[in-house]
Amino acid sequence: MRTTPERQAAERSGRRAEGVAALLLMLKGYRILARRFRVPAGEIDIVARRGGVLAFVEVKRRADADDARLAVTFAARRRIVRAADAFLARRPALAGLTLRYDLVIVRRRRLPIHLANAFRADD
Amino acid sequence: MVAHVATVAFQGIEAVPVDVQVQIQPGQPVFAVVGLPDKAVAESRERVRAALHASGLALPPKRIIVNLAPADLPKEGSHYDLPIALGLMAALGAVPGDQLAGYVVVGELSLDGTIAPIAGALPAAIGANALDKGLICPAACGPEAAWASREMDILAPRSLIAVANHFKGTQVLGRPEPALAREGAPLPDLAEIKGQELAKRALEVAAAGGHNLLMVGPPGAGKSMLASRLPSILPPLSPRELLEVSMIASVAGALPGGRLTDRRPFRAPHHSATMAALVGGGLRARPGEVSLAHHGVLFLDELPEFAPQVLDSLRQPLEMGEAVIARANHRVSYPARFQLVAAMNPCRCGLAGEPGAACRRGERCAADYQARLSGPLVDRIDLRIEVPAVTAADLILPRPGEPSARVADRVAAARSIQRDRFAALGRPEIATNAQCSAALIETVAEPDAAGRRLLSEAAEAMKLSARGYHRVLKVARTLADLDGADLVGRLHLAEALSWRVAGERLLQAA
Repeated sequence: MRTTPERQAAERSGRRAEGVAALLLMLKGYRILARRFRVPAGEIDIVARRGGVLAFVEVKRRADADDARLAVTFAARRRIVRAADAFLARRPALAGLTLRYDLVIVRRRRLPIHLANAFRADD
Repeated sequence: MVAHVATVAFQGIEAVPVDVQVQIQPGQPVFAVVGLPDKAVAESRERVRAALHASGLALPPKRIIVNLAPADLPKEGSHYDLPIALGLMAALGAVPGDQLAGYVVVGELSLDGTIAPIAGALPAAIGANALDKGLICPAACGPEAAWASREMDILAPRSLIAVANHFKGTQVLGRPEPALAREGAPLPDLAEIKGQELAKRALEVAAAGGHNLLMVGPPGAGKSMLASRLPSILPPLSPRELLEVSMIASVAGALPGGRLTDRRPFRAPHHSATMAALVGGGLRARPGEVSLAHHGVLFLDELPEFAPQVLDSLRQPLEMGEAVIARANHRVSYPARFQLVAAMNPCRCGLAGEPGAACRRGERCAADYQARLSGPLVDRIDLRIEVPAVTAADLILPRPGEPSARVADRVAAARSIQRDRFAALGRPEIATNAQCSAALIETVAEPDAAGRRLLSEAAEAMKLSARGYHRVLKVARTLADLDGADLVGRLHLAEALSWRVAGERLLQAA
């Protein structure tokens, strides 16, 4: 990817949003297992665990919550699901947990929103 | 953990038990339906999910597998939604699974969680009763399903929530009441037809014995009018016939409001009908017009305008009383014991045989037109009559004809004689002379000496086929039944032969 000043700014704000999301999840009692898990097939922003639930979390930074939901397109969900498969392949001990796909929406000067079970693997 | 819910698949009008298994386990959160579902069944996933959501239940983030067993039987139709949803609710603990075990479940779900009506509730109820189970079906289908048995337990909930409440005991559902269709518009009456005494007699004989009838005549002679009055002189359906007719109508989704009627079906398909429309079949096997006319009348107006192939496809159902449909993934048979009534013009211009009418194409016109009917099909028609044009003098005459009710009484009397006879012979499944087998008719329609002489001479002169010979005997038996005579006399045979001769002359010389 080309590195332009805009791109770098977006990257920085994205990382900040992920930091906010991870903080929110930790406050809710999740343990962060991985951040920016990346394989050729796709990537996951945060992998977190709480009890028997393994959550694959996508972080979106948008002014509007509905915009954020729509931003997780079909293609984006497929990339996340494939990345989750790859993650489980590397950590087979976790494959027996309840797998869940979550969305955290980070908004400027407002509290972030955590949508548990935001989509399913076959949506 | 696996939850089981019983439902059915329809093969013909039979309900084959199907076990819906729902498993919820950890893993990638997917929702899959397996077990040879067709498109409508595979799509039930979305409806089930929306309906559960509307009922306040979300799918858990777990792997949900729905299996429809036996897995090699193709599942089609929309009635799997409700069993899948209830199986899921049982697996989630929203309804008690052990209470569901006593029911067969059918129903389609709307996105808002209400239960939409389905086709085939009556066969499903009968199938459930055979398995000693109750039935859960849509509210709109309750009155229809309630016909299956007086004792069986039937629940007809309006929505998913109503099912849950029923099992929780907060709002218990009552048993639906069987509904009978209110008497519809009065049928057209025979008294409205002026003249055509011969045709009316033929109609009465056809009604009495369940014989096939062909009417040939110029346009405007009243052939269609006559045929549409046939239902008014036919006896009502017996309870067993009613059930059979309703099962077919139910599978075809043709029971408005789940109400049953004891009126005999009268089907008049347009002559553009395809073979699948008439005999049944198509991608999803469905009963055709011949099956919808079971125990009733199939009226084919403008007979030669039907595609010849389509007409010849009627031959087997006419003989066997059932339509067997074999397709790549189906082999089903629907009952099709119908009475064929056909009407046609003698030629394309419709004027052949009329005094003073001259057709530009001459003799060829009628010959070509009638050649569209195959001999074997015409051979299966017992009564063939000529319906001449009505003269103005007939119309002016104020003489009222005989009302349908009086004819219907005679028909009913003749039918009860037939029913008693076949019951006494240990063949209660035969209701009319027309359904009787060749061997049996020879014993029950034994003609007297004079009759036998006439029959052998006529058979020689008319070159009757073996089938034709037996069909003459059947018509003669009906004529004797109408007379209340025990023995088939010479007179009856003579009249029966005359109905056949008329056709022979019509179809060859005209």
